[in-house]
Amino acid sequence: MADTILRVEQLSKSFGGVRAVRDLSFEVSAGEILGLIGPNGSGKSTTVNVLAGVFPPTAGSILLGGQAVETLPEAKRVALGLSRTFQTAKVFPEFTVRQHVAMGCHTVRQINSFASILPFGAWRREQADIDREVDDILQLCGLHAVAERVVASLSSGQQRFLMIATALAARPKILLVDEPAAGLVEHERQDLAELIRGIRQRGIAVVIIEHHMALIMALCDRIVVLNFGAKIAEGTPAEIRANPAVIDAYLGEAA
Amino acid sequence: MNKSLHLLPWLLGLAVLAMLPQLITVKYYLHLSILALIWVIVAQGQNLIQGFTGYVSIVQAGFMGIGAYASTLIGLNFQWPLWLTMMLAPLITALFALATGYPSLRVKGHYFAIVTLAFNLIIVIVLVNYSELTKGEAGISNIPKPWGGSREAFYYLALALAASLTLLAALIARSRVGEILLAIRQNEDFVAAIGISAWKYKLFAFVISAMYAGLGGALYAHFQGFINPEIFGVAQSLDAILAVILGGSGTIAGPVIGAFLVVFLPEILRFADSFRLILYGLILVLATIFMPIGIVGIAKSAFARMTRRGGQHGG
Repeated sequence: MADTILRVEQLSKSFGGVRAVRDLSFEVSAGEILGLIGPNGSGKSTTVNVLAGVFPPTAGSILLGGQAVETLPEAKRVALGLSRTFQTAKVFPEFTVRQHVAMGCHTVRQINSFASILPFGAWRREQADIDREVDDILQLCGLHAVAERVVASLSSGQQRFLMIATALAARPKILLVDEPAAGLVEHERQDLAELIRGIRQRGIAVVIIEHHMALIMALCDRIVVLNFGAKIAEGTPAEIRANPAVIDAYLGEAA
Repeated sequence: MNKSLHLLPWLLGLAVLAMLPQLITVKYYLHLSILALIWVIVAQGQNLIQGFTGYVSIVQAGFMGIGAYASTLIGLNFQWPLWLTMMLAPLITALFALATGYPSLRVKGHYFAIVTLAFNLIIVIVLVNYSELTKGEAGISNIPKPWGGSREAFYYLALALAASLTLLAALIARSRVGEILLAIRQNEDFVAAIGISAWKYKLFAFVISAMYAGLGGALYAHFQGFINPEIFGVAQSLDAILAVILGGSGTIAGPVIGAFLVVFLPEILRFADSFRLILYGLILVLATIFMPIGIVGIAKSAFARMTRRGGQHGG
């Protein structure tokens, strides 16, 4: 398959005596959708936070495009191509949707933001390029109609799509989406699935954490199952559905 | 067209301020106007860190003190020309702000406010106790004044500086740095998640705000001809905060209006005699509670309501 974007090796994270993530290893390739599932408290969100650089791992390594990033701060990892979204809508409520997505372009801009204080035209011209890119992303994420609206006036579902749009503006190689479907209604969930497929089509790898099993099974190329911080299974949706350890720990008989 | 419409009130305001020395007959009001222009500079600086970035700093007067003493002491001890020492004052203040801002900007909200308050207290304590250099509580008098102490000339100096530094604040506000500062105020955690190192921008806002204060302090010293530590205490830092809140935080016109208010309001209230400061305090408390968006904020929303029927305008 295509080249590996993210390689996680023997990753562990402890909080005091609690081992939230233990010896976790997996890989994600370009244009692949990887599901990360497991019961509440199994370490999914901790994994995303460690990958994104919110806190450092206790042990193990994170290779992003071959480069070790586990000691780099959050913002640096975004610049290297790793973007993420949050479980709850985190946004800048006072900006317009367009401004908000343009903020996500920070790492792809050529002109230093301090240079933009000087009243010369260079960054205005760059702004025009950014505007086109933002238009494209708004279209992809179905936010075009609300581009000039203030973020605070959006529904919580729209704010979730906005978070994804803003993450995409950084031109990531890999996107980590943490429970994007929580609180979405059925038709929004379908739009979300469509969007994530569209993101994959652009060659971006996606790691998705989700409790909505129908969505996960329909979307993912591969699934990693966590329980008590450790990987208990990995495979295609069909393999995972049939795996007795996964049924026992998480899915239950009905699934 | 929209742009020139925005500039019009500014040009009018500047024209009125430029004619003010001819219009004012009472010399004392000219004196107060100069103080107000100095406070415009101080408040514009405070607005960058408080209004745009959302970090309430309580050390603005302390930084004024550093600028005032730096310019005065360098002038007295090395006989350097006044212009040079006044230009050095904001640079020296910037060094202090770098050293204090780097550790203190790691903490947020009330903690940042308290850390900066502590810095202001320390600055005053040092100014009082290092009396071999600063002459302690008695202060320093006979500080040289430019143009042989001409008030009119000083007025125009203060006006030119206040106007250009207001323009600089506006340039910062409309640049990407300004947008990032606003983003930090709204949701600092999310700023890192989209690839922006917030600390750089916070430190920038803090250091620039201190430089504004440092220059304001130096102007104050060479205008009044006398400084002592008490002038640069926490009470004056609170005045800088109030100027921003009263005028309208996160706006460019706000600190201008707020600065004139904090200088003139206590004078206008003189009729109340010994109740003057109580009345002043009461007005401030009520204004902060009932108009937290400031005078500019209220004017903007009123203007928006008036023009809503006439079509939609941005900004």
